[in-house]
Amino acid sequence: MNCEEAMQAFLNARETGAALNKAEAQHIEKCEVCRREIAEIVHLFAEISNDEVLPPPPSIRQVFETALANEIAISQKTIAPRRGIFRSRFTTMAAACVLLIVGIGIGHLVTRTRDNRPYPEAFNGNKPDSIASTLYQSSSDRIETINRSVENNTPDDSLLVTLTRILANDKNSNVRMAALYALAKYADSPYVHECLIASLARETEPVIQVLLINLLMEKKGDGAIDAIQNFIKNEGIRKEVKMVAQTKLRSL
Amino acid sequence: MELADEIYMKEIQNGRLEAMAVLFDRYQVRIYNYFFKLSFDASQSEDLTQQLFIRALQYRNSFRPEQGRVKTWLYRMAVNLHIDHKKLQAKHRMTVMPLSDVHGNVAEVTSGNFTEADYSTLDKALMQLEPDQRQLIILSKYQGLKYEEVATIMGITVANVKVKMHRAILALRTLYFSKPNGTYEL
Repeated sequence: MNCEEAMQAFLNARETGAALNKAEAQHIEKCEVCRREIAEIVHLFAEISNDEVLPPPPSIRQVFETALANEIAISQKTIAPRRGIFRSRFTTMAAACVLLIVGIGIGHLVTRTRDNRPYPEAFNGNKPDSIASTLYQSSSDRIETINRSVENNTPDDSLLVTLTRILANDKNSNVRMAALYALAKYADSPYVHECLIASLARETEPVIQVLLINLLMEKKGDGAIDAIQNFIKNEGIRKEVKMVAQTKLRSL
Repeated sequence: MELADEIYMKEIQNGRLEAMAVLFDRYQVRIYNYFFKLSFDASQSEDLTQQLFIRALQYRNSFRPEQGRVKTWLYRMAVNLHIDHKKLQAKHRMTVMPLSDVHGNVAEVTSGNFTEADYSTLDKALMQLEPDQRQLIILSKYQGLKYEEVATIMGITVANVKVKMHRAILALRTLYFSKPNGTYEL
C-alpha cells in the first residue's frame, strides 16, 4: 500500500460511504503525509459545501415563461391527426422525398433570382443596432424593454423596425429570441414576414432557427417554404435543426 | 412526496408542455450556479441558463429514459452548451471577467468557518484547473452529482471518472494550499 493507493481508497470511501479496509486505514494512520493531505482535502470539501448558492436573475424566468407560452401556442396549432394515404410510413417517406426534390428545384430557381429582391430596411448593412445595445446596458434590460414595448399590442412602424433590427443584429441570442417572440405577434405583417425570412438565412443560433422555422411554417406566407428549403441546403446548419425543418415540410 | 422528473418529462413529451415549468423550478438555480462556477461571469451564466431551458423545450423529444435520467440529460446539454460557447468565445476572443470583480474586497467573515478570502482563493484555484478537471469538480463537488451521473454526462466510464477526479482533487488542493490567499494571478 502506497500513499497514492491510500488516497484513492480514501476518496472512493468518501464518495460511496464505504469503510476503508484494514491495510488502507493502517497506512493513513501511520503516514503523516497522507494525514495532512486528507485534512486539506476535507477542508476543501467543507469549504465547497459551504459555498454560497447564487439566486438566478429574474430575467431567466421571464424568457423561459415567454418561450414556454409560445411553444404551447405553436404545439396546439400544429397537432393534427394523420389520415388518408399518409397513414403508411412508406407513403409518407415517398411523399417527403418527392417534396424535397421538387423543393430543391424550386429553391434553386429562387436562389438564382433572389439577389435582385430588395431586403427589408433592417437587414441592410451589418452594423449592430445602436438603439438596443447602447440605451440598455445588460441583456436582461434589453429583454425586459422588448417585452414591455409590445404589451399594449398596438405597435407603430418604428417599433417593428426596431424589433426587426434587434432580431437581425443583437449579439445576444436571448435578446434576439425575445425580439422574435415579440415579432411573432405581428407575423402577419408583410414587413415582419419578410424580416423573419431574411433572419432565417443569417441566424446562427439553432434554437432561434427552430423558432423561426416553426413561425414561418405556421404562417405559411409568401416565400416561407422556399426560404426553409434553401435553409436546409446550407451545409453549416446542424442536422437536428435540418430534421425539424424537414419534418415541418413533410407535414404540409 | 415529489414526483420523479421522468414522469414530468413523459407528460411534456405527450404534449402537456406546462410540466416543463416544474423542471425549470427544480433546476434553474443549480444550472445557473453550474454555469457561474465555470465562468464567474453572471451575464454569461444568465444567457446560457436561458438557452439551456429553451433548448430543453425545443429538443424535449430527444430525451430517452433508457439512456439516463432527466437530470443527466439536462447537465449533458449544459456541458455541450458551455463547450459551444467556449468555442465561440475563442473565435471572437472575448475577455473573461477578472475574479477581483466577483469577490470585491476580501477579509470579511462569511458563513461557516470560512472567510471571503478563503472563497476567493478557492475560486481562483478552481479557475486555474484544466477545463476538464474544473468541469469534474463542479459537477461532482459543487453540484453534488454521483460518479455514475458524472460518467453519463461526460460520456466516460465510472472508473475513468474516479481516476480523473482523484487527479482533479489533488490539483485543486495543490493550487489552493500552495499560495497564500489572494495572490493568484489569472
